[in-house]
Amino acid sequence: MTVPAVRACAVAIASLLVFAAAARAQDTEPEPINDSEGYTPPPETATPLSINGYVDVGFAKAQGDGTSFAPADTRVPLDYGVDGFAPAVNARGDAASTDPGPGRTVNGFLPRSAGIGGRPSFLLNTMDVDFKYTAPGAPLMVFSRVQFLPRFFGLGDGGDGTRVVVEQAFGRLVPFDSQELALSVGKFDSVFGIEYLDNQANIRTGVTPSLIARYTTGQSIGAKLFYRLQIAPLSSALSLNVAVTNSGNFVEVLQPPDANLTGAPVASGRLGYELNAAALQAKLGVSAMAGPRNDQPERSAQQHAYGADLRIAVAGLYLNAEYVRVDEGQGGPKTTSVGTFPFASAFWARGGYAQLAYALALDAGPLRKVTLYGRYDRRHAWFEGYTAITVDRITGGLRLDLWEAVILKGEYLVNRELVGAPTVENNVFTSSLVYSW
Amino acid sequence: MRHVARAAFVLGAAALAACEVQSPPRAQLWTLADVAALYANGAPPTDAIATDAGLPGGVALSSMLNKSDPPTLAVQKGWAEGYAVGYTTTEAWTYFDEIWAQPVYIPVTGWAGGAPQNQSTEPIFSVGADSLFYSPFWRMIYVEAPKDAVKSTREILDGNYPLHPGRGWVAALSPFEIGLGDMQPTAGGAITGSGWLDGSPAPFVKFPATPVGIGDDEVIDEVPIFHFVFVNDEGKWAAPAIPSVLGTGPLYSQTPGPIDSATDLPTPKYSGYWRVYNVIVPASGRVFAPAGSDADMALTAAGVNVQATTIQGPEAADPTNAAKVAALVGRVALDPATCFASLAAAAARFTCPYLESQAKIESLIDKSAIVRTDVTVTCPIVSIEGIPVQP
Amino acid sequence: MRARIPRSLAFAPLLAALAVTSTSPASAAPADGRGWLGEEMPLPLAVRTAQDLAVKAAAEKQYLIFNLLAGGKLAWDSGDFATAATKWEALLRVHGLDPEIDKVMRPLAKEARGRAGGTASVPAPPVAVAPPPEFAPPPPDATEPAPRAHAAGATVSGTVTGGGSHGPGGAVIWLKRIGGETPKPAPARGKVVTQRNKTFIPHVLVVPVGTKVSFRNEDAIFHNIFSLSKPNDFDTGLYKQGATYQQTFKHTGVVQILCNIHSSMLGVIVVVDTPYFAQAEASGAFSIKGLTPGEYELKVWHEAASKLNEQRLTVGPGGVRGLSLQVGGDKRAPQFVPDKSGKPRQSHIGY
Repeated sequence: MTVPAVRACAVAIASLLVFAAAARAQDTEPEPINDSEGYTPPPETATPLSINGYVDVGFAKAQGDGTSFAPADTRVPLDYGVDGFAPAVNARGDAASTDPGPGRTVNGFLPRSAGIGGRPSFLLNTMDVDFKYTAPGAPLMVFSRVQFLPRFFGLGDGGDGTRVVVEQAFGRLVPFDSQELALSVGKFDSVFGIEYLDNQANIRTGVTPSLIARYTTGQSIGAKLFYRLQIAPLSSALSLNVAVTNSGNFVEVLQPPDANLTGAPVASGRLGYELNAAALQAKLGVSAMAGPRNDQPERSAQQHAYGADLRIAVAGLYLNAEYVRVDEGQGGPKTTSVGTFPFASAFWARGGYAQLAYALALDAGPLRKVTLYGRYDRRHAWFEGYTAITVDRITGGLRLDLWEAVILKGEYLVNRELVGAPTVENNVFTSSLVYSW
Repeated sequence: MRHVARAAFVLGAAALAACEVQSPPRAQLWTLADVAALYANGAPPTDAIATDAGLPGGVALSSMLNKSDPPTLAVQKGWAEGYAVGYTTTEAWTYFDEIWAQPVYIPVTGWAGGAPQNQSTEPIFSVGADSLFYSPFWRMIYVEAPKDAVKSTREILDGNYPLHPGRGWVAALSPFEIGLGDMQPTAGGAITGSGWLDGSPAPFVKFPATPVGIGDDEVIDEVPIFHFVFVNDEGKWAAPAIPSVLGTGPLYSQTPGPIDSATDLPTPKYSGYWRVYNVIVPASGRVFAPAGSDADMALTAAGVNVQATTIQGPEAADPTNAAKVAALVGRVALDPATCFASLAAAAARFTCPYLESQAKIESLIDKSAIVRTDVTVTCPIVSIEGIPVQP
Repeated sequence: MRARIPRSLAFAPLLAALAVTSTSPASAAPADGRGWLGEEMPLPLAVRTAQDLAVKAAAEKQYLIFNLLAGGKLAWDSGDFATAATKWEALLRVHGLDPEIDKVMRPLAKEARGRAGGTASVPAPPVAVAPPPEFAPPPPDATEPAPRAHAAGATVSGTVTGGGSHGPGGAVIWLKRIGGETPKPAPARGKVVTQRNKTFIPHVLVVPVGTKVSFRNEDAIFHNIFSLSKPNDFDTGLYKQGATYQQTFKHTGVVQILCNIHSSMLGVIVVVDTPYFAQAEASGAFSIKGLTPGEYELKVWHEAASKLNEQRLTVGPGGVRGLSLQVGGDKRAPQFVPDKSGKPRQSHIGY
């Protein structure tokens, strides 16, 4: 080999060596110079007790006198011929007013009253405190929800003063690690339908509950069992939620939950199917309730309810829909949270709602999310021998989530009396500022 | 875990089964439609309703409707202010502390000088007979509306028509155009008609309205009706189907009956909401019940042996006085020897210790022997001494 | 990713061409057949601009490396171990030597010295310090890859305090260069977040951007881990005991991780774009290695603090010790955690 050839060869080899070194340098990443294995708080630092809550302040204005009563209507009882729950002003479903006027008789089929009538008014709706205790070393959780409901006297309106309500208090046991099975005993939410999942002001998309919430979102005392079976290949799950309680699913103003008046419990339950795909979540369910009416003492006076529900969430759109039918037999002297009455009339109701909401997540200073929503409600109901009524409601609203603890909502309710009930002006503008802590 | 769950279930079921909860009695209402339905299901006229509310034997179906095809209103004999009256029973309640007057709308074409013009014969009722809040007592409200423009409460209220409150009105809703039955041929006392309820035809029978007392919150005033109760052969209370006494006002209120303007005599309350009181007749009491009479058969059926079968004296035996004697059947006297000593004595009012009016009962019967029941009834008086009361 | 050839090596063909065609005395073939090894500097490259100067400096550096590398090899082959050792020891002292070359030649240099009968005097591995002025690196341009961080360097250590009832443990501290470029971090390897007893272990993890994290289910029940924290949002779907799902975090930010089935499960992954980071221990102690002296922006994140703690920090050659950092404890755990559609869930309901 000549010298120039040796030189060329050596240079080529050197070049190859250098290039190869360069290629290896690109394929092999150097080790990070800093690393962390993560941090897990020691068990002893876990706080078993957590205290949360919220304050719900509102501003509302109802048309007319804030009730659904027609001034010239002198039937007895007045609340059988109208939907007294329609002019709702807050998440609890309190009506702007339930005052029938002097000399008129009502029979307790009414919500609680905010006592503002047709006057625009700020409202302190609820101050809520939740206590949750997770027992260390045991699969047990204890939860209680205490609510302070400030109300005022003096307007002759049924406002009944500030109350402290233990809305829920129960213990939940999850006995098996390998099963989604939970047993709860105490006072807890309904298992019927889906609206009870949203019945707190800091959870609910809008301000007010639906026209059928009175049948499905009550709390009662008893025992509840929840079981869910995951079906991974289908990204699905089946769930069963059953409860045996004093009063079933009706709200407290209609059926007191604190004692069983008949001596026989009410059974209720929901069978659900969930599809939890990446882009779409859909949940379907059917519910049922059966047992004696807990607003009177006779076991033979039965109540039954059947329902179906649907939830779909996709791309920021949320669709919730629910249907319920209720049948109540005639019963004995009636006790509700509003008062005691001589008898309980037989009653039937059919109704439902559909709500569509669109939520847009933002990062614009304090504004975290904007939600636009609309809901349509319809309720057909009649007391035996009384005029059957059909009412509906169109609700539209806007919700703003600010920082991580503040929610501002405003909505307008258009209440319409379609059949039976006299047409009254009972639309409502209401708003809610909820601070969660 | 499974064994614990099973044991808990068994204990719970046993606890529930052992739980015999005594429910308070249920408030109930029977209307003409209910009685007609019972007949349609084969119930005999001797069956009774309202049997658990303190009135021995309850209210017989036959006291409300005759079992005929179609059923007709039954008329019973009673005493009111010493007069023999005929009355019907259209509703019976148990365990109701109060009932209410509902609005009935009377369409008129105009209103002039405080008086309705061209009053319609088709009233618009506001509550149906299926409701526990129904009663045959209504508050009239005249509504100025074009003819046939309104047939329901909602149409009236939504139409913002001028409304003029009126007086009380007594009309029992019936499932069909009720026959007046025993009131024939004594025309009057009641009229039938058809109105509207939520846009559907609503037959009714109307009774004399005055004087119905409607108090605060549209609550109907309550007036006693006294049923005679005896201790039967078995030592139990029995209330035989003999004429009752219709009162004038709350117990011991000494409310006088209305005065008839023509005669200046007290007259019965024609249409009241009556609460049944049991009057425990002392052992000395006797009922004028000639053999074979309705009263005799009723007493015998009840196992009560208190018949006074004859009125002494030749006038009572005179066949020409048979009608007068017949009119006295069912009278209860505490001093039968005196009261049934002669026809004159038997026929006299307010003299012998007859239990013929509220005032006499209150004065002659010990307070403890007048027992309030939980039965209330509508018993419109349709005739007095055989003369129909004009509705 | 395309391999990027360092600029220093991009001229290898040029060097090869120059070596072949040059007629300068430096390139004249030596009589022993090593004429292609030039040892005379500077190279005869025309310099008219500052860029020409930079190119010449770079070429000379590579030329020197090449000569020492190849010359040492020739000496080794001929049995002249002393010369080989001398040349290779000189090679290892060159500033900015490619670590791969260093890795290959260091043991050879040691052996050569050993065979030459002397004790190894292999210099320490090169550190990332500025090269001598005559070999000043060219000014960086947009195509130049970010310089690599090296393990050696200053250390910043200290203690974090605060964090409310949580304590300071788990606080994430990271530094980014001010007035200079922060080296690109290498993705971490072998990072695992385990689901055990319906909790995430670790509860808080910090990783460099580009790290692939494995989510491993050790519970006898299904989990469905997800995050709505954009742009690092993800969804594992249902997976059972023993299964693992891997997710690469390509964007910086705080990533809240949740389970769609168990609303009590909450964890955090903090993704940083700097190699200078650490996570405080339960006591609050932390240590960050490998920094070059300079001005830095320091940030501290803690899950109980509503705001980042930000401050400037000057790092000298000796590093910073005993640094005291404070984090707030004003942020409560979220009352409601969302499901993967964003719907808030009440944890006491449990489903």
